[in-house]
Amino acid sequence: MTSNKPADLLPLRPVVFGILSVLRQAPLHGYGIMQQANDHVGHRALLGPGTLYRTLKELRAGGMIEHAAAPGGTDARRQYYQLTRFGGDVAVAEAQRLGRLIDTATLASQQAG
Amino acid sequence: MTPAQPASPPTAPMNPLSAGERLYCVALHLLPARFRAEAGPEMLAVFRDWHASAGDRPFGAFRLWWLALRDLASCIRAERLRSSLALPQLQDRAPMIEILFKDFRYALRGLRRAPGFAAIVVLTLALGIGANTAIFSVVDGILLRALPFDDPEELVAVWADYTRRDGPVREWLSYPNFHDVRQLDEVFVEVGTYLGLGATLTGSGDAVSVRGAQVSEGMFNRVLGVQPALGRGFAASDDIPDAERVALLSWALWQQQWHGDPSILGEAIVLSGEPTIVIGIMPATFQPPFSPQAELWVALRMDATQSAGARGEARYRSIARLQPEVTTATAQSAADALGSALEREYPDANVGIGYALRPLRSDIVGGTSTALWILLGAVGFVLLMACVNVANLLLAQATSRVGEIAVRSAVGASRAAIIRQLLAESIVLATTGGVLGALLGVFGTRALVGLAPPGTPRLAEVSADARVLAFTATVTLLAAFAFGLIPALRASRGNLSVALNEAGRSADGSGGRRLRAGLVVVQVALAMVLLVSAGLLLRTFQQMNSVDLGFEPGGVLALQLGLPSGRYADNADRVAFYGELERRLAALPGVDAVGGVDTLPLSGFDGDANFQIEGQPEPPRDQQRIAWVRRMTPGYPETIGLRLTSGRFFELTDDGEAARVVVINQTLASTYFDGQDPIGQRVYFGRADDDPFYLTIVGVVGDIKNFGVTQESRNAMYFAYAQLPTGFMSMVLRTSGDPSSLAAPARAVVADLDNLLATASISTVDDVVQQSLASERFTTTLMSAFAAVALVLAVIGLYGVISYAVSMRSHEIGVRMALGANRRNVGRLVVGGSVGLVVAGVALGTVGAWGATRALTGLLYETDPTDPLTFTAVIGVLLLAGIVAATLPANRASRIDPIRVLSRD
Repeated sequence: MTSNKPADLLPLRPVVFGILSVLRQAPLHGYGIMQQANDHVGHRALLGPGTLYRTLKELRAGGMIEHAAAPGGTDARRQYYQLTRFGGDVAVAEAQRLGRLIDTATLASQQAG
Repeated sequence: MTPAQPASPPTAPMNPLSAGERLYCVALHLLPARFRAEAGPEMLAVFRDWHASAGDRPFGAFRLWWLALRDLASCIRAERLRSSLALPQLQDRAPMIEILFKDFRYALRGLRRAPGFAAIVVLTLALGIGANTAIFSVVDGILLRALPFDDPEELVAVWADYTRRDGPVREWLSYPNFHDVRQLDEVFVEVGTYLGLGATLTGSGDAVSVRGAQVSEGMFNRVLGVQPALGRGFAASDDIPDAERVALLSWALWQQQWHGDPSILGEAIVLSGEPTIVIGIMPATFQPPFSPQAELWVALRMDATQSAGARGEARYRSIARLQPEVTTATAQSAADALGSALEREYPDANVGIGYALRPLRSDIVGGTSTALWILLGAVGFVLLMACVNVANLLLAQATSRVGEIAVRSAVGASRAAIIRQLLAESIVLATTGGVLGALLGVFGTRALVGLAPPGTPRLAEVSADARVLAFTATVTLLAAFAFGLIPALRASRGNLSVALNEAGRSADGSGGRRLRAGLVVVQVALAMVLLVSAGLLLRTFQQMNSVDLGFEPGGVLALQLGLPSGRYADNADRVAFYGELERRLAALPGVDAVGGVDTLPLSGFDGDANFQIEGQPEPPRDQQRIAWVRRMTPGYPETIGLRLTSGRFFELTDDGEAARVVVINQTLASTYFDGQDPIGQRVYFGRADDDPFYLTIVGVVGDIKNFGVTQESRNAMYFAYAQLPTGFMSMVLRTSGDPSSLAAPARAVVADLDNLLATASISTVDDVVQQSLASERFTTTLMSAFAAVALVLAVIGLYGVISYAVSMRSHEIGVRMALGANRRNVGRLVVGGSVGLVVAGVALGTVGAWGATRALTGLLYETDPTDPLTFTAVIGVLLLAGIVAATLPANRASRIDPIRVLSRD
């Protein structure tokens, strides 16, 4: 998990991509990530607290996310997370890969059609 | 994408946990503890937010619990799998301490799976560390550590050198010769002297026998540099003939008799009937370099004028302190010059006598050092064997785990993580072994001090030494560490696929096998050296015990008594006392015979005199005829079992009024009366022209061992006690029953006769004889113990290698059996492998033992260092050990099922 090249990490598991995408928008705490990632991926039962935590830990170990200060006016006891630059690159790379995949699929279905 | 809105949690303040949240908390306990500690709080926080928001939806709570429990279950499964595989943590940036903690936990778990292996390694380490600490502590305390006095290197023992008279190099000094050497103040700060003292202390409860010394005035303060803890030391005015007698008490005696009451200072105590003023208490730590068991010291009260005639009476042991810049050699030349001057001045007494100076430390421990160095060498061998064993066991263990390591590697453990973990196992083993070894060392040192023969010098200074412990622990732990590391490196480097395919079969290279076999050969060789050494010492001990002593020690009790010269000033009083005592003791039920002698054989006391034979020319002064002299009562020969060769023993009529008579021993008779009958001839003491003291020989007795069972017979004479009485006597009682049962009645008889008299000691003569062999027994016992440990270590080593070889070769054995080998062939193959290793070890060990046992020569008696019987027996024992070690593995090999083994392919 310590590769320096985003491409080496692809394809990402849906959960990982979901979390990275949510965090691309703004730093967020655990529950917020879980809620939004579940919405995002569209599979509402994907993430529970255990899986969330284990994945966050893995991403942190891989240098893709890091702890963030809680924004003013929020509960300081909640742990916030934000994307690192590398994490952002990985999310972009995966999005591009998925984009190409969709283009290919679209093209294929047009040709078939 | 919608702009990011931090989803604000519905419940901002953290309220107390609801019932559902508490339930989730409980469920979190199913997670592995370490993961729970790390992730639990955050998981709970997320769950609380989730729980709070779930209420508004249809079936919200139900759905929430379904999802939460499913999530938790998958999490538990994943985490448990991870810990059981001992995978390295996914993040490398976890604090080092956490990683180490985890490694140690896995190590403990791994060792619990192989408890036999762990126990053997730990015990081996503990034995190696413990035995070495104990022996080295003793050697350090006795031989190596400086004497506990200021500038101890300035202290020398001063002896009279009788070598030119064919006498000992270390003889005591006469008072005048001490007085003269004391005047050499250009080389000596001070010379002190002392004389043993056995006294009866009365006046504070029961009469007690105390041991002590009479000490010249400068001995404590100027020679040893020790001051009393309380009161004052001896002054010059205390050490003159008419001074009031003063005493210094040992701390222990003060506590024991006066319970540490300082008011005893300045008070008079009664020592053997003479009032003595207590002037001081010596410090609790004070151990004089002489008579270590002394409990009190009195001033000597001698001067040169008083003892002028006693130049020939060697009774005083002396210690000197050199002037700061003076070497022992310089002092020796000054003493030599003085010796020559005295020889010219006093030719009668001093011809052939010089002074010999020896550094005090080596002088005190000289007799003990050979045995101790040899024991230290032996225990070093044990340490070496322990290290070899640990190495061997760890090597075998690591090799057998190649498969397991390969699996770990395959599931993602890094090489560093694997090495770290194997090392953690070594460290856990080493630490446990080290702690046990330390305990063993501390208790072993105490046991050795208890076991050491009485009179061993400096025993009180021996204690388990932290430096020693640190040293041995470091050596063994390094061994464990090194031998844990090598297999760890090798095992983790291995080719994964090969290891996985061949796991448990032939992953061990032939190099590794040869290394382990070589280690075992070395081990057998070391064990052989120790076993041969122990065997030779046992043979020596056996020879010593079967020596003909010349008397019958069995069934005899001895009581030592000393009559105070104050109350028993006249010879007649002493003779009357011992006569009456003998009569009363003889009347005790069960007593078959009673007698008295001034010095028991083998009790460690010497006493000799120069004599002449009437009608034979007197030899030159420097070639004196010397004989041991003993005084005995008529009942003594029968009681102790002396054998009469010719003539008669003493009778009751040989008293002070009768003609003086003497009984001589066989050696004296054959040395000086070659071919003649000595009976009726006369010997005399003094000079023929100066009214000598004549005695008529009435009997000749067989030689007895007087001063050590291994000593050659010397000339000896027995005087009739009634004709030459003394205050100190040992009464001996023979019984057909248990002699020690007579102790209490005999003591009562003494108290009945004189209740102010204490019995200095009561013991059976058998014990006295055994006591004289105490140091041989000490050495032999320890050497045998080390040899036994060595043998056990060698068997463990052999077992480890053979058993491992069997499991590695199960494939080959299976093939052999499939091709028709029967169980017996297979068993023979395995046992043959073990015996082969033993034979190689024995070959190496024979060469080693041949050389090493030369060091033992000084300790052997009537035993050749290359004694063929011992060598043969040891080789037999080792071969047997080789067979025993192979029995279990051979049995296992013969039960190998060829079909199952071959089907693995």
